Amino acid sequence: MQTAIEVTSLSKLYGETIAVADVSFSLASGEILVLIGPSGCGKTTTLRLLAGLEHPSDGVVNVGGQHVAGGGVWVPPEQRRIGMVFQDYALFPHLTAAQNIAFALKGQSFAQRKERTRYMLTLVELDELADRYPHQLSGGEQQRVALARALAPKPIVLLLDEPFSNLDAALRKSMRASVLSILRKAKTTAVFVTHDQEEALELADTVAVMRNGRLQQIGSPREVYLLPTSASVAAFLGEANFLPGIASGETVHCALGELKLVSPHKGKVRVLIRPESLILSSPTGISTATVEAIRFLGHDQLVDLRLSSGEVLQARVTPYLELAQGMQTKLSVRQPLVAYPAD
Amino acid sequence: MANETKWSKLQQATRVEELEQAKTIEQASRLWLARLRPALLPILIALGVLLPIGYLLLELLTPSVALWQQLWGTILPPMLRNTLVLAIGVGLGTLVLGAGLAWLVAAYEFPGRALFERLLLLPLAMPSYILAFVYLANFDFAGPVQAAWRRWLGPQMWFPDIYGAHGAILVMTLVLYPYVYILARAAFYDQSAHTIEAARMMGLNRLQAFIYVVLPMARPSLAAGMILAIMEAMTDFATVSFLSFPTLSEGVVRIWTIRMDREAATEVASLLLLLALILIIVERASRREQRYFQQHGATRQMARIRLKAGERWIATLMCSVVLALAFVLPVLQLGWWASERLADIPVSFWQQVFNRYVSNTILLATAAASLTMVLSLLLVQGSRLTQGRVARVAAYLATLGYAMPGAVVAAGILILTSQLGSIFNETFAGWGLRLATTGSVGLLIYAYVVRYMAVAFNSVDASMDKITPSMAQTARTLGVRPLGVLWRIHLPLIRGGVLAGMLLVFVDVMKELPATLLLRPFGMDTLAVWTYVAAAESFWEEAAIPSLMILLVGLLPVLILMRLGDANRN
Repeated sequence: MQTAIEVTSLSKLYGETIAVADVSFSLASGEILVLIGPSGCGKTTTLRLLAGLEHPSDGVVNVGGQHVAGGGVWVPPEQRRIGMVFQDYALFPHLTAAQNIAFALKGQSFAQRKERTRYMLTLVELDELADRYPHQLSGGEQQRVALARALAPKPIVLLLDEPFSNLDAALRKSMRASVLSILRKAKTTAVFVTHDQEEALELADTVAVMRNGRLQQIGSPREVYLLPTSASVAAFLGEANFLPGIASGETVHCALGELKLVSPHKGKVRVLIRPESLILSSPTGISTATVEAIRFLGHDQLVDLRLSSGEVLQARVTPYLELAQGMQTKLSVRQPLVAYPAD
Repeated sequence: MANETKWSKLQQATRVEELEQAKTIEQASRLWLARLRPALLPILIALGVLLPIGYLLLELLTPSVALWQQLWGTILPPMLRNTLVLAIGVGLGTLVLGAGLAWLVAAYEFPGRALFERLLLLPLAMPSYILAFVYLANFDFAGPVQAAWRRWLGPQMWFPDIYGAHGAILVMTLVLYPYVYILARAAFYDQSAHTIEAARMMGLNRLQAFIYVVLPMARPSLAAGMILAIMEAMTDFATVSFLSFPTLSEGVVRIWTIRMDREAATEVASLLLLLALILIIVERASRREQRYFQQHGATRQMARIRLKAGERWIATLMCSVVLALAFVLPVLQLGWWASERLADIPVSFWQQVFNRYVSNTILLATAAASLTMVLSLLLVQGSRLTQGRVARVAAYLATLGYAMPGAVVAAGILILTSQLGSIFNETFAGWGLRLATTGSVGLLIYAYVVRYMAVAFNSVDASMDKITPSMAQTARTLGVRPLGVLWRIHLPLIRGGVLAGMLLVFVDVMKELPATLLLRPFGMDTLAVWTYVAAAESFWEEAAIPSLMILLVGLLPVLILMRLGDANRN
């Protein structure tokens, strides 16, 4: 597999403020990376460093095997062969959809340009709207034009900065699926930036979690969600219960009893328990809990459970389970579990 | 540990870099010209615009006491009183008419509403002095209306006098109400239906909701429109001259050109300048408020109320009457006059007319429009690209001329150049050089640029609003170099704004009178001057010919405005 983009200890300082600190990753051709983190974590700055819209303070960026930034080298954005889709799409209002897409197709014959534009329009399913101006298109259509425009010159990497944040919730889900299928069809290498964990897990081959300018964890969606390397990553990527316990090697002793650990620990720890890993009314349940509150959400229900030791855990259970406040229930948990040293 | 040292090194490196930058900045700041370099052009342009106005202000601060006493004892009090009466009368008149019509078309449904909504802008194309002489010809003692009146009702029957305050206020209100109308309509449309619904949920009826919610929310817009109308009324010269209602503006031109008393005219102009400055301050305050009172992009517009059968036709009638009085009847009258006059005019006369008035007007207006636009582009570029405070303030100052009466600008330019001229002539007396300081085409265009810079600037500036930084960045990532971005993104996007701005300046120059009368070199007669001279001598049929030309060209920007209003709604 060819390496499309390689970033080595990339850093960006604004005066004393560290925006991006020592970020390194590499991306194989055709792979989709999602940079996720709370606002101000440096994810957008990282994207702009890749695009050449910012100069790095330190570190090296390689695109398609070419050294484009760092170590005294600077290649301006127009020569990097990187495409970018902005949050506001930045469509050119004086050009039609087709003209926007053809914008970057220079140094080609008229027929080639026309052919490529038509191909892109078909890819994003906008053949009928080719002659519309941006203001005559809906939000989702504008986004597909922006995507086609960025993909038309066959960039080595496509960068997308919060591309779905301007769409309403219903449209966002369907656009996510259609953008993903377009990117897969075009075999595009892409880097997304988002703060939405559901979006990150759905789109990514690899998720990179950022915080305070640093990469906290990088791995497959399954890895970062189920085996987060820190409590903050665990909390950022979804609902998380942390239960105190005492670890002794492969096992931990806590309010739910003696449980297995993923990796050995010693002493005081906090055990990560995802709401969906709790099993209610389980015949093998060892501890008893009282139902304190129920939020019925349709596809599942969130239940607050008070353990006999006093801690409250949140559980996500199937909607078919009939529960009532004050009810006693047996409780067990999927193992092995991830634990973090208590501070 | 190794990491720690790396970060402190990196931070040190940026600190060194910043220090270096600080050092160069410090060096540059010694040469303040270099520091201001990006803002230098805007500053120079602002200075050029402010120079004549500032010079006149100086005149106000160093008054000649004897002259002031003489002026205050004689002509000044009535002129000042008339100016204030006109300002208040036109202000109230345009407020009632403009806001009333705007509310009518925004909130109610009646036959012809959509059409009237646009047509009510038409009086914008009508200079008030043209309407004034049409009214004068029809309604003065010898005119057909009064003659008929006396024939039917007896020679002693009273008839309202067209001369004086109410005539001037009526005529100006009829052509200036669109200033209030446009802004009020926009403000009403911007109000979300939810605001009114919330008020009604709290127990207000429709009328109460209008008085306590709709009007207060639109107040800053109404005030801004009213002040623009008052500014126009204050700069007017010919209307009040025809209707014998001498104001300060009229006084400056009359004293200067007829009594040839430069000093007295300058003093009157400086007093007028003071009033204009007060208006600017009030206008700025209302504009600032406007931003807070008006949330754009109302979630849902209010549904129009269908009026009952009787009321419906009253609404239609009201719009028709205003339109007929302000535009349709006067245009028909002008057309009638012109056709009478044209019937007995040989072709050679037209060649003369073209050579003299039309070519002068086109020459002056084109030169002024081009120069104003070039300077505006430099201003916009300076204030947008540098994003500096200095450049922004400079751009604001350079566009202040829109609030200055033409007579003030012209007087400022004349005394400035005569001072510079006498200094020049004294210095170079021995060399046999002399500088002419009377009116010239150059000074006239200078005055137009000062007056209409805001028109061109706002037009270009608004078109720049469409361009976001991410567009330029996108173009870069799509392989276009910076110069290419300017050529392929910026230029096409501001082209419309540039053309519209030039058209607006062109039309304004074509209609302009007081500055033109004061500064034109001998023989440099424009269509507006022709209209004025002919109408002043009651040659109505002849005055109708240039009037119709002015109206025809003046309609172009109004048509654009109508289309713009439609586009904004979608």
